[in-house]
Amino acid sequence: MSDKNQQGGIPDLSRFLANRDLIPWEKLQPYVGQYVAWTLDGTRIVASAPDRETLGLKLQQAGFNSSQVVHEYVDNPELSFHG
Amino acid sequence: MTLKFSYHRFRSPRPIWTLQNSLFRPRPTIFVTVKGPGGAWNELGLVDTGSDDTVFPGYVARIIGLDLTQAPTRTASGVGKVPAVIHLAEVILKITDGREIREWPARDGFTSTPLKSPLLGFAGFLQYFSANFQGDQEVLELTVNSLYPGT
Repeated sequence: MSDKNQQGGIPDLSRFLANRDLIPWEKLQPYVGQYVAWTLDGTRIVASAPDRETLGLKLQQAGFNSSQVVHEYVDNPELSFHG
Repeated sequence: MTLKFSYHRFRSPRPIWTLQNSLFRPRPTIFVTVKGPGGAWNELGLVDTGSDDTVFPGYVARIIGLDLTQAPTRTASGVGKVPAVIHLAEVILKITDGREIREWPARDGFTSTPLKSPLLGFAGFLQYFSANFQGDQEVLELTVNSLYPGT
């Protein structure tokens, strides 16, 4: 899989965001409150966990390193964010 | 010279009254890579004009090979007024809008306080750009300024 093998460089942002935004909310709903790791092309989630440490372990076991995925916290859309 | 980012539109299951019943909550989150001596980390970060510093989760520091045991610290507080310790370190930041890539050295913070996403604040990030937040277009334009130290 090319995404998994990509080293170093910045992924194609336009492709990631465009693909990631095609994912219907219903498919993301199970991940609310979780940290997820996306493929670099934004087409699928390869691992999820309630905290970054557990997600890191899952990724390690699956053969990914941190530069080969995009991390995101799936926020509860009913909560507004006040930084 | 100018990077253009569309706001990320977070879908809401219910209309948002404060946004004229929109079903989307737009936020200026952009893709950022932080690099250290031992690796790199990609995440969607929130461009936050209210944050004095650029702050990543402490876990990220370990992954990218930063040793924070001797790092200088400072205390920060958020909107909840709960103080948090952040460890400061030099890293490399990279952003791209898919057309242009910017990479620069930055002095950022790392905190063990749980963060939903990295905060791309003034020090290390916004200080190097002129930022144009276009609320009507839900677009953020970042133009490098005279302080920008990168490529």
